Amino acid sequence: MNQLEQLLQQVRTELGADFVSTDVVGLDGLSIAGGSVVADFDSTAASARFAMVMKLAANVASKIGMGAVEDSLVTTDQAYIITRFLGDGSYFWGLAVTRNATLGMVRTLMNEYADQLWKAIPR
Amino acid sequence: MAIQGHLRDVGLPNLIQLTCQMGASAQLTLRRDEQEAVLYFDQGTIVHAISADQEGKEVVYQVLHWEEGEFSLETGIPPPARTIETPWSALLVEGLQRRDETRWETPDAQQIQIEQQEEGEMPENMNDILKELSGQVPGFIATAVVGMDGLGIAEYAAGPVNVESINAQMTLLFKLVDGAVDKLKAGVIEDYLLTTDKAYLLIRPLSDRNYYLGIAADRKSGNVGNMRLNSRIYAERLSKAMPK
Repeated sequence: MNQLEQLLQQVRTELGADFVSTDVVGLDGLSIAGGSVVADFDSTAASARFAMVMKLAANVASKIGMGAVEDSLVTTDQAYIITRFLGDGSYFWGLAVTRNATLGMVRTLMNEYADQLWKAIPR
Repeated sequence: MAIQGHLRDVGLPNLIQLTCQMGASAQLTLRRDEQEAVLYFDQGTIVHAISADQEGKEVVYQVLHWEEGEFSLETGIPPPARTIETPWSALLVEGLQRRDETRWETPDAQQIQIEQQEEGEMPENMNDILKELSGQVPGFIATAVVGMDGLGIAEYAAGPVNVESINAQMTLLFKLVDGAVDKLKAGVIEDYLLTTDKAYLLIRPLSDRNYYLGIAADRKSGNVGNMRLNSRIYAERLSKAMPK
């Protein structure tokens, strides 16, 4: 298990039963590390679709003069889906948790791990 | 290889948006009944459009009325001509505005509008609610009630903010997010929050899901919990205030 996968495993452990899925994804929409507790979760599709969301979000924020995107949070009746840019913005980290998760704690956890994940991406 | 599908599944504005985001040369062929139109893209914008009887941006405005039909998107095809210089986002806003106006020209829509005016419903009421909301949100920048066509029906801003542009851009983004969540079977969106280094931008669909409440607040003085709470409270009030 490489360092990136180890870090994602730690996040998964910290979230416990609330964890659903996570991926570190390039802006080409391809995941370079991740995993899910949902057997039929389509990580490829999720990575590709949210890469499009993050690219468009960056574009939209710039066009309306609201600066650089840091993260995006979707709240559905089933889950929280958080995606945030890592490092120079060439990768993003996506994390899905159940609605039972404490959102503030999840955001704090992502703040803690974001830098480590960026540094752990193989170059 | 061409990507093919039905307009009702994707929505032409989304398709145009995504094709422009790709930035590549592309040919988008649209067919509805016996009609056909072709849009050409180059370097992230629409540069040419042609139908049986005309060409240029009028073709784009015309096809934006199409909610049914089939499309075929092929990348790597250079435009045969350049008849459009207007940025794609402006084309979309103008086209959707025209579509909206056409809808309001139908007898039923006119009757509804007359009844609303006679009963003194909307838009004052909704604007009042938005003004009240502005006082509840720390770091408030702007708020609006926006249709899924990207056009606002009520808005309030604390200063000189281009709310129209925010409405149009955030609607495109929200529709993409909604499509992604739907395809992933991740449930029904309750709200969507975009955090930038300057602002928090929150969207919460109203109960009929044809409109949403959007709130923008300053990143430094704003508070995510407060925004989400107030968006819930005010979305409910705004849903009740919507004209029927």
